[in-house]
Amino acid sequence: MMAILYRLLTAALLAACAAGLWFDVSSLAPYGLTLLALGGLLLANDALSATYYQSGTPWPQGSSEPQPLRIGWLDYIKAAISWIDAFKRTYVVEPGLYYTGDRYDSGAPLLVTSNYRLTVFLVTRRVRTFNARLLVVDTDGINVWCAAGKGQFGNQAILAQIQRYPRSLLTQEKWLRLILPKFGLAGVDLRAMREERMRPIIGPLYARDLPAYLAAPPLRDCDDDCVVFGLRMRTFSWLPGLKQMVGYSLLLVIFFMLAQWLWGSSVPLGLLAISVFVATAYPLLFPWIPGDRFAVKGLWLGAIAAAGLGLGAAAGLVAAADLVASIPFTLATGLFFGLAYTGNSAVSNYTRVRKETAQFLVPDAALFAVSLLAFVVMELKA
Amino acid sequence: MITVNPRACTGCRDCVKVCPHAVLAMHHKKVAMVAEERCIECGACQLNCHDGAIEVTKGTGCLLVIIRDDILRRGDGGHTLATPTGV
Repeated sequence: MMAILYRLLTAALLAACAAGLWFDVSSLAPYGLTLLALGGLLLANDALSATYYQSGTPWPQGSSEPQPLRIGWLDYIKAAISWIDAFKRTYVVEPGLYYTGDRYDSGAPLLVTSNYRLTVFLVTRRVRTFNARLLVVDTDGINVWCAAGKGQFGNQAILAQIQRYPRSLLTQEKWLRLILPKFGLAGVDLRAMREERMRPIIGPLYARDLPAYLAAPPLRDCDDDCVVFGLRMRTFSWLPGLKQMVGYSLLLVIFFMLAQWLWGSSVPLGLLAISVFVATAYPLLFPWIPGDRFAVKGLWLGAIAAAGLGLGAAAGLVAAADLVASIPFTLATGLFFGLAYTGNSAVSNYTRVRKETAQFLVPDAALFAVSLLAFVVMELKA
Repeated sequence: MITVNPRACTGCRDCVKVCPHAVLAMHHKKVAMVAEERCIECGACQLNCHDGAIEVTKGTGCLLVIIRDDILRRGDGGHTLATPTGV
């Protein structure tokens, strides 16, 4: 469904560009190059992403030989695309046993992870200077944390990969030591693993902590490793979130462009600026925005943007009449992003989000409806 | 929501070890909740408690999943997006 929407958006952008640049549709002409650039970017992204596996891909009969882990310059590009596309598509790596270095060593630490391409890339980048092995579990391209919650990263999936290889290849000892990502333990029953002649070790939460962990044997449980929802983690989700919000806003802008073409109304490009502001300020300033609830934080940002619009109107930069439609839109955007950010954060929970959704989703939809209605009424009056 | 019953706890400490938010701690050799507000309801503690001392209302704390699963009732019970934050 999302892929179809994405292609429709690309096609609409390129069609609007063609209409503006080559078919003399005067209302679209000023935006022609911008539309060409945006459409071209989306098209290039789509073409590149088609060159590697996406979730739902049926795997060919897998090899039972361990595969070497290598990172080349193309992997950096693919990882960057995988990062930017994080909330839209899931890119996958073939599940199985991998190793670093020149040859396979059955005594090397065995780390377990999901087959989400970006996760495998990040882990590989951290462990490639060590003598290590990676057991990539089939989670259909979902990251460890989400896959564990969904039941795709767990005892059964781990065992399925282990059983593909002869025991003697995996270990020469009585117990098979597995270093599990701590984020994945919502799906792993440690006691049940021990009953399968395995010795699960609770590894670090973050890939960046792996070098220090592997450099200090014996490898112990990371009991005290705790989630820190700091700037680094929030910045990581900023670009995919921004892309998502700008995508939604572009759909609205295209709607207004069509309206302009048909009825000569104006295109409120300020919608894009508001979305960029909210999608950037929210993750970066998250701990400092007032309020405990995600939606309330979003409302605060919406209110700040609305105040900015008010100041712009006072200074004569924004038409006072536009405020009637822009202010509810700004508040609705802030509220929506706040609610949507629950899924990006590491500090939300089901009970809390369910409660916030019940309280704020309908008011948010009402604010969007009021805003759209106001835009239409203003245009009709004009 | 998470609830803890220290009387059922045998003190194995597995729940404390698996919690990624340090919600639980040992107190007089029994599990105790020390930071309920930090709980993300992932259910790792409940899955690893074989004494029935912990109960968690497990779910996905995400607007889009709640709309899909609870409001539209079209979900498969979990998060399908690829948040790039885990190991």
